[in-house]
Amino acid sequence: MQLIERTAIQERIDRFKDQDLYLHLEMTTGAYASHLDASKHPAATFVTNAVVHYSLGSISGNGPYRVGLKMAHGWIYSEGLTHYEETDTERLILAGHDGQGKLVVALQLSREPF
Amino acid sequence: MTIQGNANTPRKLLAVFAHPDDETFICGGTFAKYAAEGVEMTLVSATRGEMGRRMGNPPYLNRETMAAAREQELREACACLGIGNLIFFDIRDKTVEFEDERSLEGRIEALIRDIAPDVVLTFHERYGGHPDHCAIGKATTAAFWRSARKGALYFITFGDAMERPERYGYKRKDVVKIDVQAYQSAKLAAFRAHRCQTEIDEWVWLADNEALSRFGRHEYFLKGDVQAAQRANTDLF
Repeated sequence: MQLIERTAIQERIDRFKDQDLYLHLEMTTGAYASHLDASKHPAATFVTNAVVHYSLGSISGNGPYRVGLKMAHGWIYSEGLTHYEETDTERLILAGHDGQGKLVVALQLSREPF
Repeated sequence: MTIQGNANTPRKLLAVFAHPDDETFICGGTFAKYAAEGVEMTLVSATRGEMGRRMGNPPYLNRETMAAAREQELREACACLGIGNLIFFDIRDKTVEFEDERSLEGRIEALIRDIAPDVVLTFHERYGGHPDHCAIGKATTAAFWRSARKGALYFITFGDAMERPERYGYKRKDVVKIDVQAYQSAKLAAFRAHRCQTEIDEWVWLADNEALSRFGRHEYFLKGDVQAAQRANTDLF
């Protein structure tokens, strides 16, 4: 994984628009979030291989980054993204890692199921 | 401005903000003041704030009920502040920056041309403090300059940060400081109208005199055009 380069991600977002795609969208605080600090609230959620189709999409911010993808009947939105998989040219794999390098958020798009 | 003092031509203000409660929390006193002076005011809320995390205390709202609740709260707050015209752009909360910029600017420009406001208020595109704020501020600023721009553009600011404008690259002469002391009751009523957002702030619900003591005496605005001829820095008009 490499630190996000905005222009590289925008190019990939543009390449994927106006077609059916498989989406993985995830956010997690980690199952042990409250283990050391009882005031923390552990929560996690993901959707994997939902079929989506967007017509307008962009990345914004100066890092961590936000991505918004506008669909006919809704939105895909993700905030806190820091890294992308630069070796994977067929899929868009974005993640947000915290200060310890742990994954907090992931946004992935692919023409084939994950 | 020749408009001042002409009873047949009411002064007009257009505010273009992002979420229900921006108008109350940031500059509610100023709206109440100009309402009392007979200014015709239009507020645009780009979204209904439906992605907010304050769900009432104890929580009585959910993602699906929040938009309607916050719309109703904003209508009540507008009544408290004397804002006569409320427009929603129906943009989803958190996504203003991802909307097509040109079409958003076009919608705002059309409003400016239609209303011909003497004063336009919006967020500063860099100091807005939230992506939706910065995005609506950027679009409104662009629309203002593209329109006939007969009025004046101001950016709303938080608290008393503009007591020290140098930190943001501005000078004291670029700041308009409005005394809202006489209008704090209306502002408090508007805070309470935004019930689901203020319920977890205990001070809002204290006895009126205690709650009112939490408000600053002034609200501050940055001039959108620092080159414009200097006018009174205690009035937006």
